[in-house]
Amino acid sequence: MKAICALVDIAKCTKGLCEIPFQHSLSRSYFSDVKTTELRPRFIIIACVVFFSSAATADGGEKVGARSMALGGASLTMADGWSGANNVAGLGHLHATEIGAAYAHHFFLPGVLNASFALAFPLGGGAFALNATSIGYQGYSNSHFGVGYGRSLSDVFALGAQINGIHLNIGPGYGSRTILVGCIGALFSPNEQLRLGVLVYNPTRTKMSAFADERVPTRFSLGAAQQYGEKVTLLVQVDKDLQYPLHVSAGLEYQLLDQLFLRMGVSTLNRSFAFGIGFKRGTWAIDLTERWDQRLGFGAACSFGYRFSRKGRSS
Amino acid sequence: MRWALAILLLACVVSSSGQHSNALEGASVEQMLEFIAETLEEEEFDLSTLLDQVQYLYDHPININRADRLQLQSLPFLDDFQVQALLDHRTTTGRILTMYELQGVEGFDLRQIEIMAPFVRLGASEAGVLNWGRVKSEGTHEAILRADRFLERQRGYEMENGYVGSPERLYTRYRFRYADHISAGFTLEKDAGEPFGGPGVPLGFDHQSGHVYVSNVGHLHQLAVGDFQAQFGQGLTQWSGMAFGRSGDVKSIKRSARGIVPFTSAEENAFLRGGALSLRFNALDVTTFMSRKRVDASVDTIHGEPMLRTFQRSGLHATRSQLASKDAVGETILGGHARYRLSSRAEMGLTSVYTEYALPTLLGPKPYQRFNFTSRSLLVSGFDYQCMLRNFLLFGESSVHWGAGSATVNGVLVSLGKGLGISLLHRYYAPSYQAPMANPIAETGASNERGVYMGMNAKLNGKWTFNGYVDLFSFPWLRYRVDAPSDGMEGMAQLTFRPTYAWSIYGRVRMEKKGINASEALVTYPVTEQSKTSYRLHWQGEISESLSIRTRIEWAVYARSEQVDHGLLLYQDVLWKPPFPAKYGVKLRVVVFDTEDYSARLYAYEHDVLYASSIPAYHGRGIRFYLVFNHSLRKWCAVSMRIAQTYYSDRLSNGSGLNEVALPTRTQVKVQIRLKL
Repeated sequence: MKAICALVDIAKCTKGLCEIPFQHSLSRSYFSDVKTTELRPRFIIIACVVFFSSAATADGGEKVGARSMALGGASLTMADGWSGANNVAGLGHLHATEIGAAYAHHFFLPGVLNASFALAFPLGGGAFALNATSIGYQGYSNSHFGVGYGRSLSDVFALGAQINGIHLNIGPGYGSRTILVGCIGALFSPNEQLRLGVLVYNPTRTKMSAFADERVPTRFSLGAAQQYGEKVTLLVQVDKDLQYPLHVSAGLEYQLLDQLFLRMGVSTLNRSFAFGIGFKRGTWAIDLTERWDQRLGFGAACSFGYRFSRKGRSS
Repeated sequence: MRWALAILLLACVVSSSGQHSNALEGASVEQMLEFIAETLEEEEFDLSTLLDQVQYLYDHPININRADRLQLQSLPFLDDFQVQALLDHRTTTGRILTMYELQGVEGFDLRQIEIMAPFVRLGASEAGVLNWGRVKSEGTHEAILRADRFLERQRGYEMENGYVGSPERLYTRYRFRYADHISAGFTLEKDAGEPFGGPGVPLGFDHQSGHVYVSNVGHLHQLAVGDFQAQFGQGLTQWSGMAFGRSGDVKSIKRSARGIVPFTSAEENAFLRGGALSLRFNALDVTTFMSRKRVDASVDTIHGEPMLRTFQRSGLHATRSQLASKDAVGETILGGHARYRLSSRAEMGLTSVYTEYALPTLLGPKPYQRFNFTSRSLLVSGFDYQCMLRNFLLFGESSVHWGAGSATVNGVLVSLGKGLGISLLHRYYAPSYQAPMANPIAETGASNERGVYMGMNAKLNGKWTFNGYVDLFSFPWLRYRVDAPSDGMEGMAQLTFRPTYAWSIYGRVRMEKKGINASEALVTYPVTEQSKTSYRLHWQGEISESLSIRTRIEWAVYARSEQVDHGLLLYQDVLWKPPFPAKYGVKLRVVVFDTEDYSARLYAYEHDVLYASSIPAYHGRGIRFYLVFNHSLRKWCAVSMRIAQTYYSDRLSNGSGLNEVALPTRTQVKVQIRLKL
């Protein structure tokens, strides 16, 4: 977390630097290579932000989809088309084929666009999921491809596992790398109202690079969702990345009308609030989210989902 | 917040009439006061203005079959949703016949009804007639005489340039009231160290206050002559007096303004002196007020011209320099407010306040003072609204300080049913917005702040309750001891378990992070983050009808750069109150505290004589006890006594400056007599 804060501070400073007109003759003479001058601040900001937001998105296999983002990222216990990316055990509760696409623009900065796609379909006693998410621009990009399977082992317990391919590209000059990491998730529903989830991401501590023994983050997450009456769901989640202090997220989803959902969430990961709205009509679902990060400002996300059956409500 | 206040009162007074179980509930308001103490770093509160109303309601319950919205809102434990539900219920089903009928009204449960019962009655829908005979026969008189002092000799009383007066604090108060129609009274006070009598102090007391107040007579909505307080909207333009802010109760972020209120407290700054008139025409209330008084300030002479440097808000006039700043500057305030009710669920208001000082203000040289106002006069205007849509209550106020800056605060309370409530609030107060009479929800004040608050109250089941909030704020401009724009957060989570009606236990974590200058300068002071986290476990309950106990353990961690300090506090309360016909009660506490530094200090509410309360900051290492003894001698006369002593085991003298005592102990005694007719 300290590292993230430091990066954010750098980002803040460089954001300030950006406002200094670099076309100024002094700056030009100072940075003899004009190309570097143009690239530098932009690269640092974007690299920081991508690193930072990817720590919150792709790397940990969470906060994918606008609904999850609106709930502060406390999406471990959700079971829907995005389960492959949020908690693969959620596939055990999936009863119909669902597809989804999501698009997120973090902090409204160029180059920090996040596009995601998900497909989940029932197969045998459980469900399969394919998902992909990508963030970055030509100078830095980070893509994930996941294949997962989850199923219910009893009325109260579901289990799932997923293999993720991470493709990291830092260019030009640094090259790219593709690594495979796994994750295992479980969901436990002791009663109709309560659902508990657990996810271990990258338990094998897969190496990213031999240099400085850099490894893909390993994360342990615990979450709970409690139905409150007929219309309200409360969600809470804790995530522990081996490198950073524990962070806590909480969210609330309120069904205002049959087809309209209001959501809000909070996360201690760099202190952010999120607000969202969701429409569900028949087999279609649209979610819109606005997220406010105390230090980096606003961001937004939207996602679209389609279910190939009117039966079997996802939750 | 309001219901919690009622309960505090129940806890401290009303228990004398045998209503005992309510004492348990007092804890919630005590917690709120602790929040204020921690934010403002104030240690003593005069609750009389807030508690008067509740006390009066207890003695003169409201007829809920006849009460209008405003009267119902004056019931301290009903929120806006409940008031609305009650009015709707009365409209649809007619007269309420039994209190238990209210269980069928949304938002009411048995517990709520039991708390509310002492304050309401189920009368007929008769109309009250105001005549002189009734005022004379049904009006109440109440007088309070109080004195307290420290027993140890403080350095300030032995020095040449120390305290001018005697170490006693004297307080006296009288008030006459008839229903919510008439109030008149005075308050006199001399603080410790202040001289009694002398030039310019005709009655001897340093603080003198009085009022005459009439309300709800025909078109006359409110009329005040003398000292009063004016509260409108969300406090962004005009709000004199104390107000609760962020606390465990999420509803407390919405203010419920009472308009013109008589001022009866010994607080020496938060009031207006002059006259106020409010008239009511159907859906429209129009209020004007005027105040002229002198305020304490330090004055410098620059090029032969006197200039106001800073206001002195302590209200203390015990040393020569404090006496020199007393009443140094004349202050004139003219204000107006119009309120229009669009429907039973929506209303809006306009407020304008003009303030003028007799001297121009000197702009301080520090960069953080850059936006302080320097003109002699300023005009602030604001628009406020509130509107209930289904289960959403939207509220807010936006104000402009003409020629300088603007500010806005907007929020929503949502009642999601089954005891689940959430609240959201956004605020932005520009650095150039400088409204001296404002007191809105804020981390530091009505200026230089931006923030978003999110809170939740949830009854998880019959026995478990959760309260929590997160507030993220930032300061666009510099602040005192923070040499750069900075940001911070405050959060709290509390889980309460109430296994039986008589017992409760809660665990609470509270955290605050904020910027502060590093202790060592490089070229300038870099801003670093300081954080304070406290963990508390508190339980309380009734052992028997006469005896109840409270126990607390709290642990605080303060961190700033490399510095980490810890603080620990443990206390045990014993409350002994035999049932009627016994007429006395005893409250005893023993506290042990051990903190490594003042920054890791801990606060705890302490019982006091009626209408007083204290929330000391415990720091250092030591033990403290207090004993409060209440005795009703007659129906019209009650005596209270309090003795409190702190012993410090880590030092040979305590206090600092003029308050220093050359002993490791500090003892305070207090006596109060209350007369009621």
